[in-house]
Amino acid sequence: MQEWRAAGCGPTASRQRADPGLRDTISSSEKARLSVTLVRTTLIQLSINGESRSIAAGANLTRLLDELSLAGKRLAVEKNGEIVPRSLYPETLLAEGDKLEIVVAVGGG
Amino acid sequence: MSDELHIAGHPYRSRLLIGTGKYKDFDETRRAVEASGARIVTVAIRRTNIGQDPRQPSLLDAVPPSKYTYLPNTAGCYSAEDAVRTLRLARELLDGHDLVKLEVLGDPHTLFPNVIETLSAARTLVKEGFKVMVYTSDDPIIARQLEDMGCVAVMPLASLIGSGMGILNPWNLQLIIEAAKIPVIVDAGVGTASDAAIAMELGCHGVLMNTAVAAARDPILMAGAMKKAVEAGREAFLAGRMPKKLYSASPSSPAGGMIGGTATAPSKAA
Repeated sequence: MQEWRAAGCGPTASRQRADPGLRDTISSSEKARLSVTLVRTTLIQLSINGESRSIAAGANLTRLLDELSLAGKRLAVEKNGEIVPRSLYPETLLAEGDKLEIVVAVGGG
Repeated sequence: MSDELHIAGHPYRSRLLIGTGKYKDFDETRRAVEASGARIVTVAIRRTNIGQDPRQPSLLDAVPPSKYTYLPNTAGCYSAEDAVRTLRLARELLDGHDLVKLEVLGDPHTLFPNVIETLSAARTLVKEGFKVMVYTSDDPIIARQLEDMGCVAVMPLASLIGSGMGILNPWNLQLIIEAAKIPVIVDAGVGTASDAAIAMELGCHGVLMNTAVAAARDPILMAGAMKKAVEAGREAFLAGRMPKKLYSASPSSPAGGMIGGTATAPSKAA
């Protein structure tokens, strides 16, 4: 999946919904002209806690947690059934179809 | 009196373990836990709410893990696989903390434990180095197998989770207590303070509860009552109760010296 968007913007599902026609409304000459500020970002689809979400290809787990406003929170992550130790977040690259579980401690008996 | 609860070699000042669920808010959770005097609190592991305001208060602020020993549980798990996955996540979440509460349920209606899955999960977790406190039925044979497997505490139910029905089978609990060399902690079913006292008088090493406190009209007051009941029951157990008799021929007051009696012959006991 490919999407045109401003460089540096974190792709999110809600953002995609907000400007669904962006790709079609910009002509190819305009794209060339705007190439300084628009980059071609390849998005990958992830499943996070059972919900589908997209993120730029090549993103690591640190960036994902940052985009989800979860950076620095006490949590644990499982990727495709395997625990990802906190120390490995920066080097854990995300790939199309990855299934992530992000959990926290809550009140319980 | 130094009478600590030792679990996996670690001493705890309180024999009351308390759950952190079902409270009105985190402030009530905090005050109930404080009033209970508990040192070990159970917590659940759940998917984080993505998109939630990160500044929202959390359990970690109300009941800080620096102050209490967190006992992550597997509540809601119906298979050994889910329970093991949950506790692996919990260990990562709590920076390698390996004291855990295993519970594998068999039925959403009764929340009765599935002992087959429980045994299977316990085997895996012990092998992976977890210190497993295990919720189970009040079956003394299963309790023994869990101990032999290497669990650090066996936690039979007194009655069904959240039922508040109290100690339904003291005889089975007694069989488990007599045979066990690891702590036996009654987990689930306690409804009020006397239930906790009875569990301790039977010789249980501790009591774990949540709903009995959280669902009381005044949870803070009940938490304090439970603290006293557990302490009272423990001391009564250590003191050794008098034997039960159908009736007694030895009154507590002196038999002699009754007014109006004869000077020499002691009067018959009334």
